[in-house]
Amino acid sequence: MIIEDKVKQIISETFKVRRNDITMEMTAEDIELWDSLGQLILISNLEKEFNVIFELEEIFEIMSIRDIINILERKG
Amino acid sequence: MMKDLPANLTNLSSAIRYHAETSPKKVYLFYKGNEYEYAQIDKLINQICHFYESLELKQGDIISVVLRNGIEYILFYLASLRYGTVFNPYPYTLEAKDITRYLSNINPKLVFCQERHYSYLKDLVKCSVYCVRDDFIAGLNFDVISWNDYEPSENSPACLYYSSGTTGNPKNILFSYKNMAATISSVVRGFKFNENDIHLIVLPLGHTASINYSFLPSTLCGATIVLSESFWKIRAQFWSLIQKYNVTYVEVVPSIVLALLNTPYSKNDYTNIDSLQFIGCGSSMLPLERQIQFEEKYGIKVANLYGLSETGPTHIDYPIKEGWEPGSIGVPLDVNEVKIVDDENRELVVGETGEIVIKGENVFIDYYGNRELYNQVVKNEYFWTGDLGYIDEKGKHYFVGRKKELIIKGGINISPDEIDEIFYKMNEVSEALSIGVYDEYLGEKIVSYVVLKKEYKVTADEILSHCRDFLSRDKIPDQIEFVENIPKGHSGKFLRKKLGSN
Repeated sequence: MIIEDKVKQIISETFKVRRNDITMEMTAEDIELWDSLGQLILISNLEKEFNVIFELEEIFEIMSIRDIINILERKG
Repeated sequence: MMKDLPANLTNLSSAIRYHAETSPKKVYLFYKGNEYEYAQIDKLINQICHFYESLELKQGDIISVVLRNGIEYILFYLASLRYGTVFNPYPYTLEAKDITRYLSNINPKLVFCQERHYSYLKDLVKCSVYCVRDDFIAGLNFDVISWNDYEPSENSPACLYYSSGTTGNPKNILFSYKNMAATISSVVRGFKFNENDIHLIVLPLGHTASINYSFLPSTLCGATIVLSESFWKIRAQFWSLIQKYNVTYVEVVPSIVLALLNTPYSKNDYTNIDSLQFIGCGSSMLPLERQIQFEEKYGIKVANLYGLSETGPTHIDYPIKEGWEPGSIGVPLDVNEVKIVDDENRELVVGETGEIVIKGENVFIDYYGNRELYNQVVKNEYFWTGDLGYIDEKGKHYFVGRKKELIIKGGINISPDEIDEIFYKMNEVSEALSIGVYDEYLGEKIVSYVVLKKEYKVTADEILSHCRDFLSRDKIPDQIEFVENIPKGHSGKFLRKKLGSN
């Protein structure tokens, strides 16, 4: 739950969406500022918060918010 | 084979009218699950012309437009051609504060935008700002539904395309109706587009690339457009859209090729994409290795697209031709002559690298408000591109690199001077220089070197925060490096290339 909360916070701040509106199934199609550059800014913010590095393949694996959680859990 | 269009077509808006008369029920546009036939689009264009008239717009007035990819953009553009205003588009991703700097050099009659930009622009710009809301099209209800196409003269301007540059030295590219007709008809001939084509547009229409390779060529030859908001929004469904609509052509940039290679699609997603003839990749050079990888993975060839905002597309690299090999930018389109020359304008021999210079009806007519700059780059009818290239023994052209200082990040041209200009607004900064540094995904990222005045301390985050007050997201430096000094030449000019090599 902690990872989920933190990810939602980052999504909210990065893409200027209300935290309560965020669901795990949301994709780039649902969030206006989530474009290709938005994805890189998101990755950068996630890396800082969780002290991880995303590999190129992992960046492109992310299609939904749930995918972010799955990758972070995989990274331990 | 392209349908017969009226000869000497000078205004592309006439092409829509022609297709509306000869193929009224043919679908011109698929957008958000809706279909728009040619006849329907033609009537809507007329409606928008009446709307322009209601706003007291006159022929020759500049209308600045910041709209997302959508039917509104398509209609506003084509209506501007029909009405005779000068269409000045900006990418939807540019932020209001950035746009206002460009508008201060242009002084448009009116700005059309959507909700995202409206609240900022209405307070920041001198002219009227009109907010195009989601129900705009549904609300059009002018009684009279006809409008005659504007008949342009030799140098009547059709579009004003912005290009990244400084406030003091803006590069607003004036493209005439004649430029447009010559360029687009040449693209159609060179790429062999015809009325059976179906183009998927994934790039922003606010940039000239998708305008000149897909939007206008499809319009001219009576083809069909499938319009998406952006590649990233439809990334997951990219291949299913290709299949659903039997798409024949898509234009992309290198970062999209990389995304398509690395997104974990299932093989079932792309088993039936035979309709896709090839894809075109432009804005910056695609590494040969990626061109080959893409064909190996998907069985689709990638054409290298070369062109500039000042000319539109200039070359054709047609991969369906027998004996085609990847790596070059092909041969010149029939609209222009291309030479490779040295600094003294001597034409170079096969294999020698020099500057690419271009002459033809596709060469723009002016930098708006900056004739001095225009005269520096267009000499004896040739446009000096600032790009380096060579021609091989088979007559194929190759792009080698840029002579001019430009950063191309994710396919978007960014003048480093435009970024440095913002640094100099800070009292703490003594000197600053931005360069493009290789990035696997973006092609280049922005690294800015900053020399602070001795008495000041400031952090990288503070500098970036300052930049955000003036620049759009894609121009914010990716990295700030504090240095003691920046290399200069004998004349005191910064040596950007030396910094890059260090």
